Amino acid sequence: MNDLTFITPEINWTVLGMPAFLMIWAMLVLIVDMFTSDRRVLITLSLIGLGVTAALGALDYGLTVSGFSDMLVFDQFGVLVNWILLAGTALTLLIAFDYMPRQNLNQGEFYPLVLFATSGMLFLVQATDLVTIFIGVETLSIALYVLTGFAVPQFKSGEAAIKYLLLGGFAAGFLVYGIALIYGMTGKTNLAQIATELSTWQSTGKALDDPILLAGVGFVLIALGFKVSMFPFHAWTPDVYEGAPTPVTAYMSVATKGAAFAAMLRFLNVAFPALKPEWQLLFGLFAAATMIYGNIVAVAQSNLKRMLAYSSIAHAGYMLLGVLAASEKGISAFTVYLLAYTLTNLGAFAVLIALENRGMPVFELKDLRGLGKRSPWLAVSMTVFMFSLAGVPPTAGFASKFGIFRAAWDANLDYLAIIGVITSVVSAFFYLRVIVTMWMRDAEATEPQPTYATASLSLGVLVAVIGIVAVGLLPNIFTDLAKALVLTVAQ
Amino acid sequence: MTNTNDLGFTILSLVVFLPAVGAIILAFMRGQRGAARIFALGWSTLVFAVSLPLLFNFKYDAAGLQFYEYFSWIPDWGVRYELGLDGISLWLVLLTTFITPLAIWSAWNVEDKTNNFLMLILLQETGMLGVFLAQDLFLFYIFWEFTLIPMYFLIGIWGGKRRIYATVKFFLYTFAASVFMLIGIIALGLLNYKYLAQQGLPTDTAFQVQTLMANINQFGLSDTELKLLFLSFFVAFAVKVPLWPVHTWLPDAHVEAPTAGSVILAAVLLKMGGYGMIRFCVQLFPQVAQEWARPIALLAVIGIIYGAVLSYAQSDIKKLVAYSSVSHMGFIVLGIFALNEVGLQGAVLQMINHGLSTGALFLLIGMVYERTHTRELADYGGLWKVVPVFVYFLLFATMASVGLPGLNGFVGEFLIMLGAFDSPIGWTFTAFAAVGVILAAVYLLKMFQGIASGPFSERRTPHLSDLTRREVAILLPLCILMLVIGLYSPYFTRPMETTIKALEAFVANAAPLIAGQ
Repeated sequence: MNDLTFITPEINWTVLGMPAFLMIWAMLVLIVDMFTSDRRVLITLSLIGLGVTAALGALDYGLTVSGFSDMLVFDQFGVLVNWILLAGTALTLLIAFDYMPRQNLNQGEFYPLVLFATSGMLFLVQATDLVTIFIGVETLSIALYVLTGFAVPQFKSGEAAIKYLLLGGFAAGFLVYGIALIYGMTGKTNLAQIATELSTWQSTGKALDDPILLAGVGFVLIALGFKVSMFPFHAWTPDVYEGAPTPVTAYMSVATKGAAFAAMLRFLNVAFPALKPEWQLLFGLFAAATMIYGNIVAVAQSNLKRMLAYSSIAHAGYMLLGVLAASEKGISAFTVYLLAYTLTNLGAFAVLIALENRGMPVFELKDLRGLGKRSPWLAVSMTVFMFSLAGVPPTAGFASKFGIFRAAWDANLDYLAIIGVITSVVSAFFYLRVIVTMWMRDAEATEPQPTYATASLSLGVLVAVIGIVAVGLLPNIFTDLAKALVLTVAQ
Repeated sequence: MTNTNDLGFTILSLVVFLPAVGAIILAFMRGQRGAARIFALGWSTLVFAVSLPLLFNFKYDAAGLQFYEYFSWIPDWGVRYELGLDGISLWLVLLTTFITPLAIWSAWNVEDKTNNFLMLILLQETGMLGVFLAQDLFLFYIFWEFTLIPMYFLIGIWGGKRRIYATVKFFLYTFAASVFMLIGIIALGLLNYKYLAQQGLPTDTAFQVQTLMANINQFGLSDTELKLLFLSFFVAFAVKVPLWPVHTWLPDAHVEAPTAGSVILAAVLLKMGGYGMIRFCVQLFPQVAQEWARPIALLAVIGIIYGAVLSYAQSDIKKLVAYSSVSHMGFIVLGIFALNEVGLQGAVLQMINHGLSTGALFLLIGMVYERTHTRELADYGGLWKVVPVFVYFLLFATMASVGLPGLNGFVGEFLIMLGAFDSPIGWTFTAFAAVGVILAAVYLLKMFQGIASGPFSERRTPHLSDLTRREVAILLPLCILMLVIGLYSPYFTRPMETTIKALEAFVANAAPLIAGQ
């Protein structure tokens, strides 16, 4: 280390492959966008890019490699979560394909921007160092700020973008400050090295509950909690979800959450196992509050986008249970839950997209009246999504909730499992209301609104429905894949 | 899939999933209403025919599960796909496959979205059969919750004026009660998983009922924990039965449901609660069941009297029969928690009886309502002269429901009261239950009298015509069975004898709860 020769950095392509390829590909799509305005070319290219990225993960699946001075890792957990994120991104592009021109938002930058955001997420999922976590969070956030304001002639979209940008800026500040405090106390930024440092504290009798260290951990968790819209850091969610273009809302509600939760999992389990009792207690309260708040407030919503926003807050609470369980069961259950939730929520938003007309100011529950008659297949799909969100068998929503509650119970978080099932009943109330409106209430006498179930959107919905039923009936396929997931501890 | 019957094929899976296959085929018959009806009727009759070998090949003297079939489904969680049949579930399975074609046939006049209606009934049948056959708690829970979905739509789309209120209430009530069972299932599954792993046994049977029965005393659960687990199951079943005071969803659901829905609800769906109490509450927690037999019997007796009194007070015929269900189902719970052979036999037999007679009553009310569009008892009168065939059938079903000796209801109620008298529940509760029998005669005869005798009003009950051949053909099998059970009840109690004797012995030999452990 002491000789001053220049060391060429060794690039480990296995580790960096997925995010780097997607990033480069996104730039390529951006360049292509300069020469063609044919959105069919752009979406085809984007989907190919997502597919190749997923294949890169498959190539070395099963290996555990870390690189870049252990700042990034390639492990089974990371690849699985990345696959879910890639699938979510592909579905987003499919459901957005006809929506964007319909809303007169035909800028081709949409596709590369989504890919940039996804690439940041993949990076975040693989990050094992506070610095790379920060880079990942910022990469995805910056692309999302732009996407939120994509419908900028609409007042609400601009408002949402400003809100998200300002609050996101604050969250980034918390993140950096938290990282600085942790680094100040431990002298490390690598997650595993922090854990080692803390265990030497333990052996030398130094107190772990140092207020500055705890504040640092708390700040990082505030920032990540903001990204997953955990109560009480959720306040931006309904406004931003309502204002952003619907496909972007759909994308944010699943992909951002997934990536930030993955980072939270690594942060808590790899760096701070020593503080587990403390964060399990504190975050248990947050998880309980998130489930209760999200579900109860969702009951009062008549605007569908806002209802789904609050429901996504509630689902963040359920996913948090998997994170808090801090066990193999918990990690595996979290992964299955993320998959089920991704499919379900994107599907539900896809149905809203199919019904949304240009310049529609609000999207009310009553707009769904008589949908069962007007377009039965959309209504059937929406029914599947609502039952899945409520966790009714035999859908994916049930199987994944079962896994989450099982993991929580096993980790002695029984009170959280009980709150989880009770709030599930509350949630059934407002999800059922959607079904009641579609099937059991007739449309008002006014001219029926047209629906836009175009080919690409229908494909997206179909994939989601098949996925939900498949995960619901054969959860074994995915639990087998996701079992024995361990977070790589690279030092 | 491992199959243990000597028929050479997995008959239980076939019976369970055949109706769902029919529903899928129906989805491709859009716009062909007539063909869809005939297909659904034929298909459900086929399901009944396929289920008959269960009866003919049933080994009367085997206590364990028969036609047992399984495969390892979600090994990581310890879940197996596992179906089996014993003396308790045999008749309930046959009741389900028997009632469904009749319910479909009764829905001949459903003109609105006929295909969807028939599909939902077939899906409902799959769900209910699954509940009676699943031997793995996870699989059971999936079927249990799944049965909510078709019924939710049947009531909500084809129901009466307050259908949305009724169906949402039905769904939320049962869903809310069931999620506690989910917690109970998760807890038991995890304990068993750990125990099996610790013993070096294969862990894929963690949720299996048989394994749990054998192992539950090894988990080191305290008295309170056992009671809480028992409660988590019991609440779900009590709501489904429904037991007083959690019965309030039933009258609404029954009154608003379309006829076929009411029939399935009364004949089969409620039985899932009684079945669950025997299969899970009693089999898994025999000690708690013994200790709490009297408090539960008290609720059952209150339900018997309360249902009867409220039934008497109704002016709506359908509501009257709905409340009579609350009363009758109280008898079944009483029989179960007598925890002896006679009581349990009576309870299982009474589940079948109630399915037949109340099913027939709901069919009859639906048939007359289709013509007159009124269910007010005050509007009726003098039908004996106008539509005699209808009144004959009504009299028959009423008498069966009242418990006239010679018909099925008498046998079941007699056995239940004999069992309860002979058990720690004791004679006081049994005496009050017997009052319920008298009250049943009061309210049911009030209904019959109000409809059949008195002056006839053409204005209030217009367009009356007697039963068509189709309607007679629907009712006739039900009435024949009521008579057969009434006269030859041993034929029906014999298959369940071995199973129930084994269960009685199992409960009697269960280690008593040790307070403060």
